[in-house]
Order: sequence, then C-alpha cells, then structure tokens
Amino acid sequence: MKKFIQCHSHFSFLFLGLALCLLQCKQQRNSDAAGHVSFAPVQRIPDDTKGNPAWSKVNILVCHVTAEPPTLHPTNGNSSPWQEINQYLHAFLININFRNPGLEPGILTLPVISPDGLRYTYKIRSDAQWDDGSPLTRADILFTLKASCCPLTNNPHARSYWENLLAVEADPRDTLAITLVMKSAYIQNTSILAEVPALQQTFFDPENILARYAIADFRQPSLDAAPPADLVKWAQQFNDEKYGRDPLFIRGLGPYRLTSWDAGQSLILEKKKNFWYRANDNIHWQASPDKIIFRLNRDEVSQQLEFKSQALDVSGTVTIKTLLDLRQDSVFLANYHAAVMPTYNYTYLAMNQKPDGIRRQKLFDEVRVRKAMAFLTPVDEMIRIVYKSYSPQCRRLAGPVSPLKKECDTTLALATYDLQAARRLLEEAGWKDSDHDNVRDKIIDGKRVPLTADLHIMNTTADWKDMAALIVSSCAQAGIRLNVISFDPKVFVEKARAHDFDLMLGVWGGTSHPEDYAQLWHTDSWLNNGNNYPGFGNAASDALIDSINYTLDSEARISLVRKLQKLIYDNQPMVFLYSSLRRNIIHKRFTHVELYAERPGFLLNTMQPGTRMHDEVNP
Amino acid sequence: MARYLLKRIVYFIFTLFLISLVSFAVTVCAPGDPVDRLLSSAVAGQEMSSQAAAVETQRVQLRHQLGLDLPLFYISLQSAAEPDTLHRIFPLADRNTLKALTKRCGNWEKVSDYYLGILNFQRTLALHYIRNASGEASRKQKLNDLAVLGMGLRSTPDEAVAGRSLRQITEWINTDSSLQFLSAQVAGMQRAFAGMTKEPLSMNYYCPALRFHGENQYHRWLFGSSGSGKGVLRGDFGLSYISRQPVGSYILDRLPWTVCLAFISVLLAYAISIPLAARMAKKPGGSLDHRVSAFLYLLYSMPGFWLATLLLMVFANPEVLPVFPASGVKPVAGYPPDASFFQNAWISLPYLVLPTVCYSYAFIAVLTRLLRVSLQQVSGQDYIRTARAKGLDEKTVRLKHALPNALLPAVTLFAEVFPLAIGGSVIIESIFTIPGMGSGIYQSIQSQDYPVLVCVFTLTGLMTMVGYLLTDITYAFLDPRIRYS
Repeated sequence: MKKFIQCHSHFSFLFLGLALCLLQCKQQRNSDAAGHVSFAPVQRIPDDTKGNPAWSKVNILVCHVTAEPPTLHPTNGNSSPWQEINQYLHAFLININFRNPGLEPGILTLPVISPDGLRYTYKIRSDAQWDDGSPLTRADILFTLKASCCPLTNNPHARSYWENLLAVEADPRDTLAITLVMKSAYIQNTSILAEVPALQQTFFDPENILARYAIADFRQPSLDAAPPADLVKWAQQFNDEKYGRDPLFIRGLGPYRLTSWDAGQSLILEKKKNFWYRANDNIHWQASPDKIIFRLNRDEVSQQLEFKSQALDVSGTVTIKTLLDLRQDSVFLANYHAAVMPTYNYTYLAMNQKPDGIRRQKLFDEVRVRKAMAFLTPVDEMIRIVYKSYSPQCRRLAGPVSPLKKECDTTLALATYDLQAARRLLEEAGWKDSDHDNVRDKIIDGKRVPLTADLHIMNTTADWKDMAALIVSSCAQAGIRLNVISFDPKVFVEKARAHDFDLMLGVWGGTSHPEDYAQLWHTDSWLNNGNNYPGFGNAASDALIDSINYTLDSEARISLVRKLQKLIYDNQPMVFLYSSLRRNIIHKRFTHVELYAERPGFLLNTMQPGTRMHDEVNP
Repeated sequence: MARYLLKRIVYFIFTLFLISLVSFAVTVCAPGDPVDRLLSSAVAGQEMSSQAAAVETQRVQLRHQLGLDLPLFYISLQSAAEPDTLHRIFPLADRNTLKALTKRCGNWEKVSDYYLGILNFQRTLALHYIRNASGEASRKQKLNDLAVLGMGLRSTPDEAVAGRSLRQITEWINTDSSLQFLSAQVAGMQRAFAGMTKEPLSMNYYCPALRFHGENQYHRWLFGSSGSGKGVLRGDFGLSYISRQPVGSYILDRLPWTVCLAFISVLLAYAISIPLAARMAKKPGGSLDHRVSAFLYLLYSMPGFWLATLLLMVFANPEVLPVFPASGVKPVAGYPPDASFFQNAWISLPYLVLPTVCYSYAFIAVLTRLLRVSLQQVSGQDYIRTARAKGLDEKTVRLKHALPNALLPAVTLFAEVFPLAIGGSVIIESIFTIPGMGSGIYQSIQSQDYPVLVCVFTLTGLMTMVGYLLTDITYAFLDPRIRYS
C-alpha cells in the first residue's frame, strides 16, 4: 500500500510537472487557436535607471550599418540605406506613422480625396524653411513632383508609380493648396509621397526650366524621341552625382545635414543649428543627438569587438548569431539593450505551378501536390535553425499578408507537419512509386516523369542551406527527391522571373503601406516575367486584386484582402514560412527608445542621452 | 636599353588591348542584365496593363543610354542566316528563341514574320484586355489563357509545341465569337508559322558571315560617343551603373588606401626579410636557421582570414589586449579639420597595423626563405671565396658582394606588388573595413557594375606590366651581366 501511494504520488508530481511545462510553453508563444502569435508594431524600450559612470556623455550616436547607399540623390536612389539616411536629411511630403501603421502629415497634410478618387488635395505646411532661410513654397512642391515625373530624371525604379499622375493643379485662391489629379483611384496614390522628399526649386533648378513644362507634357511620346535642349540641360545637371554624394550639394528640410561621407567608412550627419521645426511632437523632425554617425562594418567578429568596446551605440543589422554571442557577455548586457522586432517581411517556399513542360516538368501544377509540400515543410524546425532562442518570438504565416496588418486573416490555420497527409495527397494526385526506387513517378504527356525537383536557394547565408536540408530530408520520406542548387542572388532572381525553377526558397520585403498585390499575385506579373514567380492566378483573382487596388476605403478593403488571402491559401502557390525578425541593439545610455516593425526599425533622431548621469547616481 | 624599353612599351599596348578585350568579354558573358538590375525595384512589368508599355519603354531607353543595344565588337562571325541586327532584340530569351528557330528554318525573314506575328497577337490581346478591363470573369479567363499560350509561343523554339499551341488558339478563336477580334492576327501567325516550317533550309545556318560594325560597345568604351563620355583612351571610363559616379573618381576614392597598405606591407617585408635571411644564411643548418625556417613555414600555412580574426580577437579585444582598433582606417569622428597630412597619417597608424601584418606575413615568409636560399647559393661562389681571400671583412663580403647577387629572386617578387596595389585583398579589407579596392571590386561584382570592373581589370593588367618592366630594369642595375640589347 505504501509503495502504491509512493508510486501514485511520484506519478502525480510528474504529471503536474508536465502539465506546468506545457502550460508555460503555451504562454511563451501566446498563440491563438489557429497558432498565430500576436505582436504590436511598436515596442518601447524601458529607460535604464542605474546609469554607469563609464558611459560616454557625448551626445553623438554611432549607428552600425553593413552597407552604404550607392547614392543619396533625392530622386535617383531607392535602396534601404538611402531611405534610412535620407529620412534625417529630408522632410518627406507624407510621413509614415511608425506607431500606428499608416500615414501621417509630412510637409503636406493628408489629402482630401474627391468622391471619384482621382483628385487629391493637399495643404502645404506654412512654417517650413530651407537652410538659407527662404520659406517652403508651392513652387518647391510643384518642382518636386515635376522632377520626379520628368522622363529624363534617372529614376527608372519609380517611373511606373508616376505614370499615374496626370496633372498638378495650383489653387489660385490658396497658395498653400495643391491638387494632384491621378489617372486612376489607386491605393498607393498617397503612400508614394512617403518616399518623396521636398526639393528646393531655386537650388535644383535656378533657371526655373521645369516651370515651362506641365506634367502632361512629360507623357508625350515626342518628348522621348526628341527632348528639348533646355530640359536635357536641366536633367544633365540634376542627375549629376554631386547631388547624391557631395555634402555641399545635399540639401533638404530635415533636421540634419550631411557633413562628411568617407566612402566605405562612415557618413556623418550633424544637427542643424537653425532648424525650422520648433515643436516636439513629430518624431520625424526631432533632433536629439548632436551628431549621427553611420559606421560601416561588415565583419561579424569586428562588430562584436566594437560592441564590447562600446564604439557602436545602435545597430539594426547584426545577425542572430552575433546577437546571441554578445548576449553571452555580461558586460554587453550591462551596457546594451538587445531586442528583436517583427517585420513586414516574410520567407516562403515557392512552387512553379505553370512550368512549360520542356525546361521544367509539370511537378507542382496540381494543388494536391502543393498542399502535400505544405505538410512536408518543417516550418517550426526552420524557425529554430534561423532564430535559435528567439524562435518563440517568430511568427508563422498562413498567407502573404503580414500579421501586423489589420487585413490579415488569422482564422486560416497554419499547416502542420504531417507525413501521412502528404503521402495521401500525393497518391490521390497520381504520384506513385511504380518502379520501387523510393521516388514517386507519374505518366505525363506519355512519358514517365519522376518526382525529382530542383530546390533553388541563395548563397548569401548558411541558414538557407540548413533550411533546404530539412526540406530535402522531409520530402525524401514522402518519395520526393530534391536537388539543392544555390545561386548568387541576382542569378536566383533571374531564374525565378524566367520561371526556370521547380522550387525556390525566398524572402519578400513589405511595409505598412497598403500593398499592391498585383506585383506578386496578378497573372500579368507572371506573363511579363515579374515577381509572380509561382504563376498563381486566374481571372477571378486578378479581378479581386484590381478591386483591392482601386478600393480606397481601408475598411472596405479588409474583406477583399481576406478574400484574396483565402484564394491564395486554397491554391497554395507557396508554403509561407515565417515573418522575419529584426535584431536591434541599443546602448543603454540612450533613452526614449522605441522599436518599430516598419523599417528601418528605429528613429535615431529621437534617442536622447540619458539624464541620470554619473553625478546623479553616485555623487 | 632604350631600344629594349621602347620594345616593351609597344608590347604594353598590344597586351593592354588583349587585356581589355578579355575583361570586356568576361563582363559581357557574366550572368545578369544590368538593365534589369537597375529596374528591379520597379513594379513588375504588366503586359496586359497600361504600365507595361511604360516599363518596357524605360528598358529600351536605359539600354540605349548605356549602349547595351549595340553590337559587342567591330566584327562578328555569325551564321549567314541570322540578321546583323539580332543584338537589338531584347529580352535575351526572345533572342535565343529566334536564333534556335533560325537554325532550324534557315530563313530569317520567315522567322521574323513569325515573331512579328506573335508580337502583334500579344499587343492586340493586351489592348483589348485594357479596354475591357471590367468584363466578365469567364471572358477575362479566356483572354488570360490566350495570353499564356502567346507567351509560350514566344518562348519555345520547339515546332511541335508551337504547332500545338497555335492549333489550340485557332480552335478557341473559331468556337468563341467574342474572340473574333483576334482572327486576323491568328491567321497571320499561322501563315508565318507554315512558311517558316515548310521546306526549311537549315543548311543556311551553317554558312558563316563575317560582319563589321562601326558603332559597337567596345568602340564606344574606347573612344566614347557624344552622349556617353570621352572614352577610355581619353581617361574616361564612364559612369558606375549603380552610383552614377565617374568610374575614375570611384577608384580614386579607394585606391590610396590599397596602395598605401600594399607598399607599406612590401617595405616592411623587405625590411624584415633581408636582414633575417642574411642572419640565417650566415650559419646554414644552424639552430637559428632551423627555428626560423619552421616558424616561417608555419606562418605561410596560416590562412589570411584566420590570422586576421585571431589578431582582432587578441589585440582589439577589450577583454584581452585592447591595443588596436577593431575596424576602419580612422576614428569614428574622422580627422580633425585642420590636421596636416602627417598628422592624419599618425592618427591612422594604429588602424593600419593589424591589416599590414595580415598583408605582409605571407610575403615575409616567402621572401625570407627565398633570400636565404639565394644567399646560401651565392656564398658558395668562387668570387665570394676570392673576396674573403683578399682579406675583406665578413660584413663587406656579405653586403657588398653576396647580397646584390642574391637579390634577383626578391626583385622578381617585387613585381607582384603592383597588381596587389590595384586589386587589394577582399578578405582583409572586409574584415578590417578598409575602404580599398578589394572590397570595392567585390561590391562591383555583386552588383554587376561592369564599367568599374572593366576599368579595374585593365588597370591591374597595366600595373602588372609596369611591375615586370621595373623589375627587368632593376635586374640590369643589380647584375651587370644582364644587358638588354
């Protein structure tokens, strides 16, 4: 009896312990019934209350970067470093709201949109001033828009967006009002202005050449064939690289100016002494550090040493490995905050569902085979490989809409690893191992075709290889043989666009802006070798995408986007893996630190040196 | 000697021409299209929408601007069946398909008719799609399916597949009255296809044709043109595709650090190797000789990236010996505004110690061993014995008689410095974040920045030849027996 009671009590304790563990795991992931983890788009880092006498008291912030922008030209650049640095040098026409994803007023107010969605009326700020003391005027805004639209401006990346602008009207009764007349009521008509910095007309066009042309003139085919000499002269001067590299020629309405650019080393921004914005409520136009230095360092060992010696203050570009290695160091933890934030990016496994049958076999054209691949992809394992101890904070996806967005349909269940379900689907689709070589096969167009596919990955990091190895091993159990081939990123994208792949592991970047799903999911995008790599889509989905693009009411758009998500979910052109995490390191001597899901992930101009300094803590 | 120098300079020109051809060919054959790279951030082209034309126009304009729609070289050896304007056809996939069709058919006119028929069909379909964008879903689905078949026709050189697609298109057109607007285009395609596949003259493809192209990419690169700069011969290497910065200024920004490191490393290597080798050669087989040789072998076998990381972990680590900075060539805040060149050099010195060690250690190992062997060989010569017999002290014998004759192999190695001064070291510069040529070249390769790459290849070739010429002159200076006549 005594023995029975002892066994019973041991077993009870074991059961209780197990239950507690399971409960704890569930609490860590904080997931809903469908398996989705919730995150906010902003995270406030608590200010350090202890201080450290050894910390530097200098109000200079050194931000670590791994790439410098090719150019800082206000219209001709578009890289991530361009955006990250120019947001401190320039004031954009519309600002991104980092805290509540959406748009907020910048140099222009948010527009009053006409009922037909074609006329966007903005008001210009009356208090903005250029560095030479002259006020921002409507002429500057007009010039900014014309410079962006001019076919001779070297901005091919943005040309397609500006095609939608038909005309710009200046209200004669209100010198601060401006109306943009658009070709169609498109959801990105306003958000495009979040990437357009205000330009000073007298500086960039002293002869006022662009004033002679209307936007409509730029659409004339004759202009392409024989551009006027004065426009050519202006464009040659405007496209000159000095406006993108020389600190003397980089001018904007932002709180900082570029004082030095050492190629391959650093860029130094200094706070303007007479900055026009005096209030404190707009986070884009605050200027807390006296200097911001962007310091380039690509080597992981060197990065770790610089953090240990506190030569760097902030980083949003370290690898997970570097972050985890640094966190082993108690000195690092005493000096820095280390945190991850969700992003709008996601990683996926795409399947070519419209192969030509010659270059690529018809392996994944059936939805059952694609669903089988979803069951065979060990997503949780992949997350553990990539994010290691941060994996509980990584969010899985069921579709192409970021869980940070309201329009994300969180009722769609995430695929779980299920070998039996995958095998059953493959059998139903006609893939059987008829020759008993452990690889399934099928008769297609009169020929026996084995279920052997190429899995394309990029050769940038070892994580891709590890993830691919997991997929290969998992698929082998279901009778699918995969050959992993790694490519340089450029070749990888080329092959994807040419539909020369069977499977590919890729990543897609996103923002909080309303997304144009045509780029990824419209059949046109597949037809013309765009970004619709898998070849998803039909007339119904195209019509839905077109409806989304032209539905300006964000609430009405939510149900449409969810319908599209369901279509994509049912069709399974990709196995959606996870939403990327951004790795952030911030020195504790800075306060008022917020981390955002929207890139670049933080605003350096808002970080203030701590007020509790040595003399207060240890008098 | 003057005649020899003149002959070498003439060889320079010929060799430079060959180097420029090779580098040009490499950049042309490298995968990827710089136009696509520059447009890659744009919205993907949408053939069945009004924006497709805009993107395609940009592609054409950009290609024209960069001169990529010109033939590659002055002469081309092609099949007589192909046209001399095939290089103007983009995208490359279309060009390859047309080449394959020409190979089968042997008649470019017929292939061209067929291709134009397909384009006409696609254009008509796209215009109809745009004008009827709000039509019913089933009809739009049919138009989409037709577009897919059209794309298949454009991309396949296989006649059987193309024939099947054409038959399918014809069947749909004939059975669906709403698609009659395409009947003329489809009939045109069928006629062209029949003309192309009936009685092919594939033997025509094997007749060669030599063509001359006055305006070509290489010519434009050498001599420039009205819209594209002055050309390489006038010192203008064009603009970087990525930053739009003149290639010359891009290289001048980066060259000083690489040259500086290369020459400091070489000077350090010679300063250490010569006396060390002399000391080792004084008693060959002695304990110093053995120990130093073993150390040099060990040194030479260490990979550069490993040593660089090790040096960082020891000498730039605040937890071990924080003697040197971990990255960069100057302090984070830059140089003081009024500092002179020598003050700046003094400030940068600690940043350059570890990279210099990494640059030079292998060179020291090789050079010391080479000099030691060379000195040992020279020391056994008769004239050295004679010098000793004459009563000269050992130091004079070694420094004045043995060493100049033993330096010849070391002088040969000096020629390697010159290409190193241009090319740098990608690994060392990446690890230490040195803004030199090595990291610049690596980034240019990654971003397919061909103007920069062609310039670097050409300059590296030139500096290699200059290096070898200087070593030849130094040979003559060191060894009176060597004369060029």
